[in-house]
Amino acid sequence: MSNTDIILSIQLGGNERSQALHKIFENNDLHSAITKHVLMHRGSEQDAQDVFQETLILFDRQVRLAKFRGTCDWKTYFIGIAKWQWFSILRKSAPVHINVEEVSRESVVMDVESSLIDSERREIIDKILEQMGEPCKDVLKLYKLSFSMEEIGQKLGMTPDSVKTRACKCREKFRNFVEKNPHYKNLLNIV
Amino acid sequence: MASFEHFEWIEAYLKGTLSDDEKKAFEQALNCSSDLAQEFEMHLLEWDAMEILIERDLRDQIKGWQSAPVKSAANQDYIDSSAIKKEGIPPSMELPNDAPTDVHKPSISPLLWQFFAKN
Repeated sequence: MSNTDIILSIQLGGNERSQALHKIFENNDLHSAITKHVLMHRGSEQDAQDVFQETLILFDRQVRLAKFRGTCDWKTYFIGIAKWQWFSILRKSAPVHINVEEVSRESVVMDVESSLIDSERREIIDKILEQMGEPCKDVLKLYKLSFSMEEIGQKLGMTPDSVKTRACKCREKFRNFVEKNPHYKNLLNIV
Repeated sequence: MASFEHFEWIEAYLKGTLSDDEKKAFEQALNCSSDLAQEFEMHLLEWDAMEILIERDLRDQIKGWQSAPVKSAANQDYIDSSAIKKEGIPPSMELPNDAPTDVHKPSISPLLWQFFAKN
């Protein structure tokens, strides 16, 4: 798969995205490279699998948010994220003697760190999402994955117009919940 | 500026579709307008919430892929991973004789077997 194939498929969303991510998941070269790196740096086989999974999630996000623009080969970028992931884990657990430059040279560090959701924010968002019903979560998720109103309607058995109305109401519900909970607003630094 | 226009502007900024000049203009406006700044923070929160939903969905998909048959790089067909447990490692995945002995452990994954077999 070329850079263009990867970027287009993931950004298109829907089945194209799923198939592209599945192909990446099955890519033996990537698994080998990441496993080799993790094993060489005090990790286990299970660590390597975990790093691969987290890397796939981050890679998907970086491509969807147009942070990966194809200036280097996508596999190099993917492995760069994995190295950064493993370095971050090691850094949390104990002082490490990994060459920091080796990790930062991959030019993904700033990119990836800027799109991470920190654990405190994640915890609050989880609480807000608990208040939303499943239909709302489905509509918002599909909307964010660039599905058209027609496609969302087909998936959820609704007309495009009712999808639009549902999406607006769900966003309103989300905002209202935050507005009514100043404690969350303070924690999230929303004025 | 009407809230809808803020919405469109913020979406374009977050999606990375603004030109460099437009991006600068947006960031300047963000520093000057508390309305826009508040709208932006709320928008960002919604985006993060949607990202978390997408992430959960992808984790579920990955679980499905993990439990599906493992594809062998050697012969490009599918091997049932449960068969590996019952019948042992297939010959194409066996370690070479000169493989490092410290990695020769039963819990090693088929992918790792392939890696060592190739290298």
